[in-house]
Amino acid sequence: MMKEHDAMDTSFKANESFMRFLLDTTPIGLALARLDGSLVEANPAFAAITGRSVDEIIGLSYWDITPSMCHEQEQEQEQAQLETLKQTGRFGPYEKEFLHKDGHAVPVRLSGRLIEREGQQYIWSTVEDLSAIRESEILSSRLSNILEHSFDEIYIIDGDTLRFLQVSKGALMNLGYSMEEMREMTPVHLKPDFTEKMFDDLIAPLRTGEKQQLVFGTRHQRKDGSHYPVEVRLQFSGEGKEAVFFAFILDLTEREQAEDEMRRNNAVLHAVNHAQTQFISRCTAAEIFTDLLNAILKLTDSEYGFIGEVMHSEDGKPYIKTHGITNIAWNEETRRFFEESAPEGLDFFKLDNLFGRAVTQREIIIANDPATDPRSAGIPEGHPALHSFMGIPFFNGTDVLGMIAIANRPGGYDESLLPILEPLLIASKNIIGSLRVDQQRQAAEDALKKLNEELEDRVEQRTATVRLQAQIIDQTHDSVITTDLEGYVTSWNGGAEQLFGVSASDALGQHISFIYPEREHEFLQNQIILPLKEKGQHETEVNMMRADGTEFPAHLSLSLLYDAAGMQQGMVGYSMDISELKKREKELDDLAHRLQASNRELESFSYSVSHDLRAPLRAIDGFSLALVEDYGDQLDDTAQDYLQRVRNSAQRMGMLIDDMLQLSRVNREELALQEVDLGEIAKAVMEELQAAEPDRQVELTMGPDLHVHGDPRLLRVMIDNLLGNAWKFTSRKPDAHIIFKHKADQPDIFYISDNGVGFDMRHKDKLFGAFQRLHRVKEFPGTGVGLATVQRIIHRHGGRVWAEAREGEGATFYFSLGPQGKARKQ
Amino acid sequence: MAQKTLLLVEDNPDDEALTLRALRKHNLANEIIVARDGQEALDYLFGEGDFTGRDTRELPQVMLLDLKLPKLDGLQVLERMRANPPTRHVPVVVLTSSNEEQDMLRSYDLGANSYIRKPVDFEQFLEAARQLGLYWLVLNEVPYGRD
Repeated sequence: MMKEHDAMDTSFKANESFMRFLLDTTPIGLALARLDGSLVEANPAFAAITGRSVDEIIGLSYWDITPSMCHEQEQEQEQAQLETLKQTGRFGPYEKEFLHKDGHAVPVRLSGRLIEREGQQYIWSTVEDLSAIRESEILSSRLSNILEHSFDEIYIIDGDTLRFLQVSKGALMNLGYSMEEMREMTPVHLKPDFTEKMFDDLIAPLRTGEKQQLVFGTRHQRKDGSHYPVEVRLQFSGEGKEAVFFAFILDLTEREQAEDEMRRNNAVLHAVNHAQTQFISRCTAAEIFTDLLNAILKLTDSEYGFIGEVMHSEDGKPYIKTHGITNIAWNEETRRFFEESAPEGLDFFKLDNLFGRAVTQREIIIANDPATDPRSAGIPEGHPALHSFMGIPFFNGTDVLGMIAIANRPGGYDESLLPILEPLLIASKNIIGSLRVDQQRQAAEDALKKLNEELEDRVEQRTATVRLQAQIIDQTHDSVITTDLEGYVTSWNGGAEQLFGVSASDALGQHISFIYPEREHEFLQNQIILPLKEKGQHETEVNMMRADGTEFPAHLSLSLLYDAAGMQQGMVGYSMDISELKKREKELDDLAHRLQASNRELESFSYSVSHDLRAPLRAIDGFSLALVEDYGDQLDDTAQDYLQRVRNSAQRMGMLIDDMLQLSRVNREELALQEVDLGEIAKAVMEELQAAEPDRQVELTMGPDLHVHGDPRLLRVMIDNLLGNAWKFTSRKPDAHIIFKHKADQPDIFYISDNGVGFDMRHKDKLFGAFQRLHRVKEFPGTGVGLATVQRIIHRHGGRVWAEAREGEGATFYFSLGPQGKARKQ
Repeated sequence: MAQKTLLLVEDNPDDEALTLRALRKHNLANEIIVARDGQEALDYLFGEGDFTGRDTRELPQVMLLDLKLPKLDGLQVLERMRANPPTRHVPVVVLTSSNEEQDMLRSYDLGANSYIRKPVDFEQFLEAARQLGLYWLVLNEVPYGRD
């Protein structure tokens, strides 16, 4: 041992100055103290640890730089080191504190040994200043503590594997993972919006040092799958194995919520302001509520809805009139309905459904599963799907004033929406209330305006009437005279001046009797003035007198005049010269008498004709027959033939007379109009024709609707003749066919057609003339009066008859009965 | 059964002759009384004028009455005899040239039992007369003259 010391001493000596240098420059504090602790030698490092210079430290004692031993533990530790030193010649290293010049404790690590120099024992101490280490340790522990306990989210991530190394408590709590679980995870596990590749690309600039820090927004996924919005601040630090990423994460949930709320509040405020502005600028209810509805739909994430007012039908039942409604038309029909009705408002009368209950039950209706909700009445086919529904009534006092209905909010509805909607409900309520007041005011104004207009109209009309009356009175040729109640003339118009030849100035003030002949004065009193005063008005005919004394018959129309208080004031008389009228009346009377006389003559003539002309014919025929029957054996064939001719002529003459009589009857008899079924008549006529010639086969085809308005007897004669003709002229046809119908396109025009011999259309103008025949009697018997009679009958009904035919192919007779006998469908 | 009497009221001698001939030819009446105007017809029925003293209980089985007659026309005759209870039920056939409807209606109104228009065609007339005679003289029962 000694040898070593000696050698060292030798080298010390040899290199004394070098050694001094070493001592002076080493960062380790070195000191030489006597056993009592007084310091004899110290290097600058040692002095510096205590905050002193070397000079200051020499002469101080070890105990001067050791803080006073307050703690037993420290005292024991010092004693223990001293013991060790005594026993082994060494002590330490151990940690203790030195007292700094300024009084603070400096942590140090101390070790040493006993040495002897020149017979003197010394303690050689080596001191390390632990201040820096201690500080870093405290920091590290603090950081660790922060990291562990921070409610902020702090992540330390392995620079190589990207696994989490350390994660703050806040992060673990928010995410729901344990630290152990996190150690197996990377940031990509937390960030559903990133793939590994994306994340690698994102952090690449940090690795290369291009960027010091990355700040970005994304969202984190919790263990339970839920998400929250985050702002990420990511940094990179260190190299190689030590390289880490550290991330500070800010959970933005609350901030976003706050922002959302602010945005919502802004939107609500805006919507309410907008609605108020619209209301003030007199927009329609539809405009106001459509915008309001859109704001509500946006605020509540709803797909469609409406705002409606509760109205009451006449029978007092409530119904909803929409002011704003989402166009959810799903086909052409509903689209048209919506476009036509929405501006005026759709009316919902059926209220036993989801939205109706908000009104009828006066409560908020929330249905997040409408399909199975018993309150729902289902939705029409084609109606957009209904996933969720909320209906909120709003009230005016206790009355349900209206409601808001919204549908299809993702995730459904709950009452948490109410605070948001509250201002909009109030706005809706106020606007509907104001609109109602407005309507009432408008209605009252309109009524007042109408009343005023009517009044003006009436005044104007009245003025015009009065003006017109004055004009008429003055200009009329009728005489208008007013008198007072005594009968003294108070006014005398131009017509009176002309009629009576008396000027107004002469007439005024005279008693009205001066325009009546003397003998009519009594009549004037008793038959004119008296009844007028009794009844208020009176009309009569009376003889009046002009100024020159000539008389004329007059029509007199009188009224009493009343003053504004309704008191009788006077009389007004309108007189009109009716001499001309009287003359005409007499002429007409005479004419009518003459006509009646002539008619009577004609009737008596016809009567005579029917009696007196036929009697000789009967005698001619009868005695010819008697001659043949009684004296036939004395007559030869020629004589018999002559007699037959006599009889034929007599009989033909008889037919002519009969037909003539019929024709004349058609002319003079009054028409007795009534509903007539020509078909029935035709059937009867055909039966008679068939009975007369039972061997003939004639087919009659009759159409429907052969009803007319006419004289049944004359129409019978007409059909008799027309069908008789058709029957007659088809007599040579084995397949005779008669058709009686009305024209398909003109039900007023009838026709009777046959497939008989027809006639030559060149002679058609002779067809309807009396005694005109287009066929010889021998071929087809007849008098030629039938069609004349038909025409006369039809003319008397105001109708028209015409014919079309081809020789050998049949004839068609058309007829209409005109306005008098217009065909009536039944 | 009492004998069947027919009263023909006819002013036209031709018609009278022809009617009588027709009735006889068909052998329809035992006795035919002819009155040539309305008054004569009533006189016969009421037993007045030339017929004063006639037993008016004997009434004709049927009366053929022309309308157009001198003095009293057929309708007047009809009216009077219908107003007189004994003659009220005598069957009256109006036989006339007239086919005026008003004549027919008036005749029935006054109680005529039939209305026959004299046709020009004498054969038709004969046929009508025959049927008339058959019905009124042979088939018809009157409430008098049965004893």
